[in-house]
Amino acid sequence: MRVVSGNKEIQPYIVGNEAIINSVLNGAVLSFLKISGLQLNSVYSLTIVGFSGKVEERYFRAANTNAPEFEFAFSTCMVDEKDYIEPIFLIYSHLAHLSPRWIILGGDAVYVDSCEAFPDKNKGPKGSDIWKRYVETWSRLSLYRMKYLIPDIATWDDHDFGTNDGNANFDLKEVSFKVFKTFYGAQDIPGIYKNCPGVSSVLEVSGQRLV
Amino acid sequence: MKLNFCNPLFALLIVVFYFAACKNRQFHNDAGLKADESLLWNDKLFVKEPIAFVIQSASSMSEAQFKVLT
Repeated sequence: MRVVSGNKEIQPYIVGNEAIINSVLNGAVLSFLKISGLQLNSVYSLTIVGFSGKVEERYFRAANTNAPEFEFAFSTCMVDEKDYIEPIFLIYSHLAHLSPRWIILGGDAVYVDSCEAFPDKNKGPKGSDIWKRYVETWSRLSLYRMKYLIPDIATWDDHDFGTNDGNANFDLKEVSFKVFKTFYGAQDIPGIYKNCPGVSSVLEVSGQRLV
Repeated sequence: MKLNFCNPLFALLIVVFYFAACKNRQFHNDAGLKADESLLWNDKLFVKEPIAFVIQSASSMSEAQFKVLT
C-alpha cells in the first residue's frame, strides 16, 4: 500500500494485520493502517496493489476537527441481504454527493444474524460465522467501496453483536467484541478520539463532544 | 408602487409561491433520486470491482487511520 500527495509519498504505519481464515472466503486479511504528518487541505491517494498487479486508488483528507460546524451523516441498520443492497447503494450515492465530514455508524453496521445467512432461527451463528458475516457485509455494501473516504466512528447494536435483542448472556460475546473492535475500532488520538469501556468512545470535534 | 399587505392579491401571491416552492422541492427530490440511480455504480463514486474494502477511521488534522480488508 502507498500513500501519495502530489509527488510526495508517505509511508503508512501498519498497526496490525488480522488474518481471517475461512474456508468459504479462502482467507481474508484486515489491515489497520495509521498515517501521520498529513496537511489539512491536501488530498491524498491510498493506492492498493493486489497480488494480480491490479491497482486501486482511494482518496482521503485529514479531518478538520476545528471546522465551525460538526457535519455528519448517521448510518444504521445496514442490512446486506439481497433486497437491501441496491437501496443502500442509493442512500450511499446520496451521501457521497453530500460528502459530510464524518459518518457515525450508530449500530447494526453488520447483521451477523441476518435471516438470509441463518434462515433457521434455532441455528444462530457460531464464532467463525461472526468473522465471516463481517467480511461478507464489507464485500457487499457500498460504504466500503467509496472512492472518497470519510472518517467513520462506530458503535454496535444487537445485530453487530450477533443476536437479535441480545444481552450479556450471549455465548459469543467475547468473539463479537474482538471482531467488532478489529473492524471498527481505532486508536486514541489525544484531544480528538478516546476509547472508553466496551465498544464506546468519545469524539471531540468542532466544539462538540459525541459519546 | 406601494405594497399593500392587506390586499387579497398579496395573499394569493403568497399561496402561489408556497405551492411553487413545494412543487419545486418535490421535483428536486424526484430528480435527485433519478440522478443518483444513474450514479449507482458510477466509478467516480464507488469502486465497482474492488480488490480491497476500505474505511477511514478516527482521524485528526494530521493523522488518519484506516481499515483495509483484502
